[in-house]
Amino acid sequence: MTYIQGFRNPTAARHLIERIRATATAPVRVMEFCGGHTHAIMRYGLREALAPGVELLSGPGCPVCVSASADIDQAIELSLRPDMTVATFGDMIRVPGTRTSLQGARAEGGDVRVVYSALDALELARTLPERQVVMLGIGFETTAPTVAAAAAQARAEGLPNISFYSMHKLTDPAMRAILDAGEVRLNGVLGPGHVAAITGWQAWEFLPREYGVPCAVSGFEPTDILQALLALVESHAERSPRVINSYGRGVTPGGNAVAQGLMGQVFQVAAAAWRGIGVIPASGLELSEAFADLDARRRFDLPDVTEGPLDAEAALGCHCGEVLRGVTLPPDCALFGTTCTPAHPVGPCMVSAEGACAAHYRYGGETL
Amino acid sequence: MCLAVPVRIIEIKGQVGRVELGGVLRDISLALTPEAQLGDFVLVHTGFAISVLDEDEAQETLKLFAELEESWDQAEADASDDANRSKGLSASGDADASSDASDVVGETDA
Ligand code: SF4
Repeated sequence: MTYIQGFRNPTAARHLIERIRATATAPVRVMEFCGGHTHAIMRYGLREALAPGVELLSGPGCPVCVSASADIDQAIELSLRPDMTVATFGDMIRVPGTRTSLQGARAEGGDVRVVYSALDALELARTLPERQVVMLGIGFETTAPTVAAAAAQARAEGLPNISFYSMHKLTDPAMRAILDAGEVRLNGVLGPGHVAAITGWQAWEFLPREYGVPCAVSGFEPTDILQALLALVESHAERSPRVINSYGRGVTPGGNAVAQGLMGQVFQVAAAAWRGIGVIPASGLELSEAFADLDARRRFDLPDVTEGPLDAEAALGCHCGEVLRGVTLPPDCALFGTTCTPAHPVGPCMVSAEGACAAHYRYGGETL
Repeated sequence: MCLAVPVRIIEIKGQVGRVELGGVLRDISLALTPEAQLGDFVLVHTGFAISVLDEDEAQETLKLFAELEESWDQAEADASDDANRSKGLSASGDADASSDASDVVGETDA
């Protein structure tokens, strides 16, 4: 792990903090799109270290937080069918649907398996030939190509008993939806580094071009984040919004062409239901016509979730939606740290380690 | 969710690369990074290399940090600065030093 250590240089971090403070003379409001950034920012105490010059707001970049209740309900229903196995990344297992979570479904006898990689779902299908295995496709552009690669391999092998339930979402339509809604004014966006590893940093040029908002694509170590924030406050101070690639070691202008190609073969862009935000046109990925036979929605004739409940927890007083849109901070939710804790999450933002509520609860020191 | 960890490829067989991840040898798919070579650092996400890390760029960044460190040392020498201004960072930095190997992998997340 020596590779990482260099990017956690505390002296460089302190110096960067000083420079950001000196540059941000008036408050600069920055949204960190990615939940991984939220987690790192809270963990290393960067929010407090930079206040009040830089105001950091969490964004929608937590894939399990934006997965619609109706999608989870459908996955639960599938797992409870006889001869059916649902494979999922671990992050999703505790996220509440309308009635229960996948973990809850398991307790009711549902067959839910946690996989590390989409390729593990293929292995499940090989070892369970008498069962239908459904792999849940969760995640943004970072993860979608890995699921696409697994689907392509399933096709190549002719595996008859695997299909994919895509809840994959695209990052830029969500960013646009938030800015278009006008609920929150931003002076900068901390761009998601691992999404950009696939899409390329040029995919974020719409921010300065169409919205006049600078974007710094960032890695996930504290010095990476601070370097990106410094670039943002400088860009803001100079009134010259642009995209800055602060994650040069992992991100190129055009991104990963192989991954983009595979994604384009296996998936096609479609409307998607975002928990806490709503249905956004052309913001998700569904299996393409060429891969229709591997589409769980078509194989099992499942209804369209864009019609179903998106965020059942809102009725319980959860403000996860506002948190994901940068409108509310987790400690402002009346349930935060009282009714809602990581052990007993009310909303999805308290479940995943990268959910803003969970990160604030764990590292914020703002519990009651 | 977009957790991705930098690891070095220590063996390649076809589209499969062997890496050490949190002290455990693991096979990862190189299907998305066919250009990856033995000895390269790659970002691994859900069992796939998603990007080959650019060594020159990494060194550039580290050099910049080293320069920051130097200029900081200089500033410290010039005027003994108050340490408590960046207490948020140093406090969690300490916690980090004591974290175990699996945690180090886990929190490179994102
Ligand atoms: S603290 Fe819990 S109830 Fe409140 S917004 Fe966050 S997840 Fe929802």
